[in-house]
Amino acid sequence: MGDAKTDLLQGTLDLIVLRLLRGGPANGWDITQSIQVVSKGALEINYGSVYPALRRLEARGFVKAEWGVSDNNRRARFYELTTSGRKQLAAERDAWERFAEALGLILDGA
Amino acid sequence: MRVLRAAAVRVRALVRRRSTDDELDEEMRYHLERDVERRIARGERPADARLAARRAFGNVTALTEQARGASRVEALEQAAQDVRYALRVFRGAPRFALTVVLTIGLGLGLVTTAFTIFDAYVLRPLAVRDPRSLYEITLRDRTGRARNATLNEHAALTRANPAFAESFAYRWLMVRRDGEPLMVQAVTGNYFAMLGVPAALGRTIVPADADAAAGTAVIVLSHRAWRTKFGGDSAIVGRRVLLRGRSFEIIGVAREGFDGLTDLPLDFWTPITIVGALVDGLGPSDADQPIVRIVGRLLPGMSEAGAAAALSAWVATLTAERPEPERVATVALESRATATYMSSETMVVLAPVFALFALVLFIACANVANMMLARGMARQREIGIRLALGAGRARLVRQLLAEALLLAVPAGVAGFLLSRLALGAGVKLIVATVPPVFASYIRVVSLAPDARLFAFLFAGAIASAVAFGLVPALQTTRTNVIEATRGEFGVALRPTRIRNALVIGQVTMCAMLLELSGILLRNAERLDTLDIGFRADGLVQVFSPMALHHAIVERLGHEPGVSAIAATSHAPLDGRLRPITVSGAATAHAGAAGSIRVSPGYFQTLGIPIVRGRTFSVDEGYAGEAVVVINDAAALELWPNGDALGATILLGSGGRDSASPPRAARVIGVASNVVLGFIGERRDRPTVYEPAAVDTGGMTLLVRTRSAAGTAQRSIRHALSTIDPGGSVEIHTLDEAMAMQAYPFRVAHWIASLLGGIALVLTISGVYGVLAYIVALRRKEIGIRVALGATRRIVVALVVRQSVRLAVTGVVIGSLLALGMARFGAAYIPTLPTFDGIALMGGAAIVLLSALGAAYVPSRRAAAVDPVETLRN
Repeated sequence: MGDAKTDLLQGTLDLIVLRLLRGGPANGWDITQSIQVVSKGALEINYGSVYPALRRLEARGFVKAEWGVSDNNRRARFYELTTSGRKQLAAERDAWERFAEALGLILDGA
Repeated sequence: MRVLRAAAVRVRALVRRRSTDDELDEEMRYHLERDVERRIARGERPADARLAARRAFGNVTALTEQARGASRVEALEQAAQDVRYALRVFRGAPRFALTVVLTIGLGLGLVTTAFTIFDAYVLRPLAVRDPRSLYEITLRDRTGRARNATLNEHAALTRANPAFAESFAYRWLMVRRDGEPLMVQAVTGNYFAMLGVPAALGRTIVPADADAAAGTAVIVLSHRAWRTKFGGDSAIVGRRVLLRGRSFEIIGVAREGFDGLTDLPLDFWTPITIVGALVDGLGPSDADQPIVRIVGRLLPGMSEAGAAAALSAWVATLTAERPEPERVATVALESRATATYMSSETMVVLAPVFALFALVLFIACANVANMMLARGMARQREIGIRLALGAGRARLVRQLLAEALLLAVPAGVAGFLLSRLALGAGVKLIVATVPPVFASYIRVVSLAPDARLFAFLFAGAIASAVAFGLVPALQTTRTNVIEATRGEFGVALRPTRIRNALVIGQVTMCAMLLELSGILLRNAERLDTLDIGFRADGLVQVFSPMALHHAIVERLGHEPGVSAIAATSHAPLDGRLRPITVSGAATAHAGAAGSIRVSPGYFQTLGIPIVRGRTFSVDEGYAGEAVVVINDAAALELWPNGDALGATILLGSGGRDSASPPRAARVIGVASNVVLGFIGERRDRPTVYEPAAVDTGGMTLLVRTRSAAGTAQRSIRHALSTIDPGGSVEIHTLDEAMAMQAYPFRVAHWIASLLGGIALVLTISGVYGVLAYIVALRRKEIGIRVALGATRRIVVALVVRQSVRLAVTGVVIGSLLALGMARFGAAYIPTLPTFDGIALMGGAAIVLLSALGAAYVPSRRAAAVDPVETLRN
């Protein structure tokens, strides 16, 4: 494990999962792999923590789940964004961008 | 929509709990398998691949818990699981569970008993219409002195309505019938209608009854008085009773359970306008005399403070033209929603009493906390294993707390039953022991449980569960997983210190309770042999209406058994004397003294020695001359050089910065100190006696008889029957008055002894528990000591020293607390000693000896430790 890895900010995993599901239904395994690929392995997360995040999003109605067949022909649970999930994603994305911009201003200005 | 779906997920999760769990497991398993497959495909060895996959995944158990928690149905589910688990634990240790339930039940029972009484008198609203809006008003002048209202003022208030929707006026009376006192309220005609109290028989008082200026001679009995004093006669309506020589018609009986708005039980009501016939010194229609108090119902939406302000302004204007002492500056409001008004004074007296009861609950909780800690040690292995398996600490603490709560619920039930038993027994005890004179002053209220009581009990059970469960739960789970699974206790685990603190706390409370009970016991005993300074035996008090006074003096003068008669404005032991201020010279600072008017024969009749000078002459008594006799204490305070005789004393009225100038009087005699008002008072309170004639109406007659007071009481009643047909004269022996005043001290002592006794039992078992536990914990060490040559004596001393150390610390703190409490009590009861060495030492000795006794079995067990056996293990 390299030194360049960054710990995940509290609460951002949900946002990441929502973003990754925008591309279409996926199961837990797919999501963990996408995180690896998209972030180029720079994020330090336990793969397992995706599952509580998925349950959390399900309970809040942002995703819905169905059992289906995975690409290696096994039974897997597939998650899909709901309409309110899409709205939530947009809202959180805006909030994040505002936050990052503000933080950037402060850090650059100091 | 989203809410609905979320709810559906939760409900589904609850209903199909099992299957969602399986789903989660399957999902996670799938993930791990995929990861392993991928790693093997990359060329890793299968074992390494599995390990790496798991490491990358994280703590499976914790994540599973987290994922389940995410559905938020977890809390509910966990609670059910905790309960199931706890029940299983209790099935395994029924004796432990029973001990906890009984110990906490005992503590809760005591607190609940105290609360039931508090609730019934102070919290429960009276059974009248909208009691929360009822307020009694007190009129105060600018010096703060309170006065009654006049009927005219009440009428004006009714017309103007500055704050009240309606109001009634009443006056307290005591009327005697067959020599027994009856509590009476004379009320305005709207009283019953305003309170919404109907009649059980006949009718209640209506405005027409109070309309006639001379009053209508009718009475309405309270239901209780009708049953207990009038035989519950269903044909009572229309019957007549003779009160102070006048015939009154009973027009009805009020609804059951209504005893008036006061903490004294009422026997009957009568129209306010008839009051002149029942009280000395009032004309038939003294509408301008300040003789009544007013209770009103606040206008809807009116606040208490707003009403006080509105009434103050209004009454101040109304009385602006009156002479100074009748001018009102402020009006104070007191709620009449409950039998006893919860003033700050009542709270100051009740709070410490309640605290004492709560202390016993505290001791019980400390005991159980100790037992839980000891069990926590025994369960260390189990808990260690669960921690090792990945259970969160919060989850385990919750589990242990659930066990505590589950024990507290049956303890609450046990406490409730116990309080019912205790109340039943207490009422029986009071009924059996209360002096008859006292009984008529006790308002008997229903002690039936109500919602407030159950809420209190529930809160008490939860609080005790937290008290005895939280510390052990935190302590037990604060553990090193590796050591705990091996059954060893790390350095982080020091429950001994907590246990010691708990035991010291117990001993402290126990010592304090026992010492207080000792102080009260010795005080109650002292009252039996109390030297009040005059001869109480053979002394009879006769309370009579003013009109009969002269005839009674005449009649008793001819009784052969009577040796002396005197009259006084204040019957001996009938409460504190009227306070006045006194000073020896116009320039001197005025001191406080009790004031009393007595006839010339008073000192001889009571047997109070005149130490200097003389008593009043008969002429001085009739003329009411400006001469006084003072007691030794007053003489010493005002004339320390002993030149009181012949000096001039200045007597001021008791109020603050009173406008009236002090009266001057010549001191003609000095009497020895006696207790006149209250047996809890010191004898050396300054007292000033002023002269009055023996047949001045309204005074209490004191009769010195040759026979025993009880016999004399009967013969005097017989002698007076011809001049007093209705029995409006009340006759008591002085012993009865003393017994009545001593009774509360006796009850206080009983309660303190009961609490002290229970505290002692709990404390002994607490000390025993800790020592037994310490011995068990140090078995190995003791074995090594014995192997190295320690004798039995040394081993026993080891344990005993431990016990004594705990006990001495507790006793010292407890004694200091008891001293503080005694000092607090002495502010109310001056005779209570602030330092009672015997009671303190006695209580301390009992606690110390008990602690030694509790050490006996554990020390024997320690001495019996077999070094070979312990070292082998």
